[in-house]
Amino acid sequence: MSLPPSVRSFARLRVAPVPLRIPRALEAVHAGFPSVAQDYFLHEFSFDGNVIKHPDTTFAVTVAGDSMEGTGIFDSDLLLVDRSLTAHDGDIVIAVVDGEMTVKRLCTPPGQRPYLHPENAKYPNIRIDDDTQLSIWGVVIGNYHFQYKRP
Amino acid sequence: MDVSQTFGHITSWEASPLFTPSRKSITLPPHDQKPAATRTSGSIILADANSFFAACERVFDPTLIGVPLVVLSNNDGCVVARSAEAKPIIPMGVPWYQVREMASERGVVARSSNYELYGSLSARMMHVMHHYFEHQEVYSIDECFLHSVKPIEDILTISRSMRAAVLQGVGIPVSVGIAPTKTLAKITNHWAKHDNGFNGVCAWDQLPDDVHDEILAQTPVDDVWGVGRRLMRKLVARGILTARDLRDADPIAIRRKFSVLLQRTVLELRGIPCVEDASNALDGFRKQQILCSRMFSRPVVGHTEIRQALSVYVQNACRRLRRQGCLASTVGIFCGVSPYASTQGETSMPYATAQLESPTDDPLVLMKVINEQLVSKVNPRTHYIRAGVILSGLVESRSYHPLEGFEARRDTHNIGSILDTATARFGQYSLGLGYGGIRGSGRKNEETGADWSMRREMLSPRCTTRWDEMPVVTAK
Repeated sequence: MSLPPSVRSFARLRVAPVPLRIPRALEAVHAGFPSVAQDYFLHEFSFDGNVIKHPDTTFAVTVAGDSMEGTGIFDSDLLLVDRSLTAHDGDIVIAVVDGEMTVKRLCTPPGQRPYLHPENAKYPNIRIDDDTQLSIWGVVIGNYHFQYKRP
Repeated sequence: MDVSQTFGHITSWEASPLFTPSRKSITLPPHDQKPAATRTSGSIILADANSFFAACERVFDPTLIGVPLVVLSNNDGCVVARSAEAKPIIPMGVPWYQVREMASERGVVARSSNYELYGSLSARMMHVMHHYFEHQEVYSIDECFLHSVKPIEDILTISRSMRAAVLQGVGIPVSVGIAPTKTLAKITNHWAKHDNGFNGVCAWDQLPDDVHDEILAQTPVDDVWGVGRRLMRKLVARGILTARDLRDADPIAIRRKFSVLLQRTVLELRGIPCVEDASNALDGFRKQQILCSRMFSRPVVGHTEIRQALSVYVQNACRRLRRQGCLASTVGIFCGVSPYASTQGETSMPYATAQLESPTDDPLVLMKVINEQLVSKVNPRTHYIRAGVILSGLVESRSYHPLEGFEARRDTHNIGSILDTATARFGQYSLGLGYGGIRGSGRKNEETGADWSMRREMLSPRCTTRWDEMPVVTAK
C-alpha cells in the first residue's frame, strides 16, 4: 500500500508496541520556551560514582568492634575496601590474620617486620612472626559512620 | 603493580599440586629456540577461572584457602565444583549423600551453590579483564574469549598483568591460553592451568612444533572443544583417539562422515580460525525456549502447591523473557516424579502445552492460562518432586507488528516492570504473584518461604548482593 511518507510514519507510530520515550521537559513549556537550565542540568551526581573509583574491585564490609575508634572507625560502620590498591605504610587495610578478616593500620617500618596497629590503646599491636598467616585483603578507602540513629 | 608485596603469604592457590593423571609434564624448550610462525590475523586469548565456584567461596571466607572444598548443585544434590585439594578425594558429579560421611572424615568442606555471589564476582572479573583487551566475548560464568592483533610477546605481558589484576582485585585465580584459534586456545588454556612451568599463562605460538604434536597427542579427543562423548565413540571407532589424530584427519572425509562443525574443529586444530563469535552466530544470547524448573526439597502433592510453584517459575521465566526482549506464544508445564517411585500406570512426567491467543510477556496472562488449561492435566494425588514451566515460540517484541485489533497481549498494566523494579530494590522474591499463599521467612528457602523450595543447607553469605549479608570485619 503506498501512502505519502508523512501518513506512513504516522501509521507506524500508532501500532508500535513500545510506547515512545519522550524526554521529560524540566518545566512545563510555556509559549514554546525551553527550560533555562537545559544546557546545564543533566542529572544529579551519584555518591557511588564519585567515591568509588574502581567499582569492579571495591567491596563494602561492616565493622564489628571498637579497636579502630582512634581513627574514627566505629562499630557498625560501613567500610569501602578497594582490592586493586597496593597497601603502603600507614594505610588502613583489611588484613587476613589466621583466616579472619580484620581492619587495622598497616605499619611497615624500614628494616623491621611489618605489623598491624589498632587505633585503640586497649588493644595490642599484632606482630607478624613466622607462624602467623597474614595477607592483605584490600585497602580501606573510606568509612561511613551512621550519625542519625533514630528510626 | 607488585602483587607479592601485598599478598605476602597467600600465593598458595597456585602452588597446590593438581590431580591430572592423564597428563605428563611438558619440558619447556630452551628460551632461545625460535617460536612458530607468527599469525597476522591476531590471537585468541581464553581466560578462565580455576575452580571458579570454589574460588568464589574463598574470597570472603579465607579459612577455606588450602582446604579441600566442594560446591554442591541445586538442592544440595551433586558435587559440581571441587577445589584443587578436593579433586583427589571426591569425584566430580557424585551425589552428595553418597560421599558426605567420607568427606567429613577427610576434612572436605561443602558449600551449597551461591549463584548470586558467583554471578556478582563473575561480572567483576569480566569487567576487569575487559580493561586489558578491547574485544571480549563472555562465554560462560567463568570464562571469556578475548582477541588481540598485537605481537605475541606483548599479549603475554598483558595477559600476565591481567591475571595478576584479577587475582588481586577480585580474588579469583585465572589461567590464560593464547592461540590462533578458539579450539587451540582451549587446549592451551588447559596446559597453562595444569603445568606449573607456565605460571598460568601459555601461548601456543611460542612453543615449537614438536611440542604442539606432543600436547595434541596427549589430549584425548573428547577433551577437544565441540567433541562430546557420543562423537568421541564414533571417532574412536575410526581410530581417532587424540586431538592430534583429529587434526591430522582428512577434513573433507570428516565433513562427509560427520558434520561441517567437526570439519571446522579439524581446521581450527590446524591453526585456521573458523568459529565465529557467538554474537554473530546466534544474534546474541537469545534462546529459542525458556525453561524454568526446580526440584522440590520434599514431595509436593495437590494442585494448590503445584500452582504456587509454577507461579514462582513463571515469574522467573518472564524476567528472562523481558531481558532478551521477547514474547512467548506457547506455554507448557511439566511435573516429574521420583525415579524411585512406582507410578502404577500413570505418566511419570505429565506435560501439557497451550497456545496463547497472542504472544505475551505478562506473567498474569501466563498464569491464567496455566491455571485454567494446564494444571488440570496434573494428577492431584501424585507426589511430584519437580515442576517446571517452558515458554516457547519466542518472537522479538520489538519487531512484532500485528494487525490492528490483534495486538499482542502486552503487559499493559506494567506488572512485569513494576515487579522488576520492586525486586531489584527489595530482593528477588520480595514481591510476586501468588506469594501470599507461600510467604515465610528464611534465606535458605529462596526467600519465598515455601518449605518445598530447594534445600541449600550450607549456603555462604551473599556478600555482594544482599545488604544484610555483608561481610563483617573484626576490630578487636
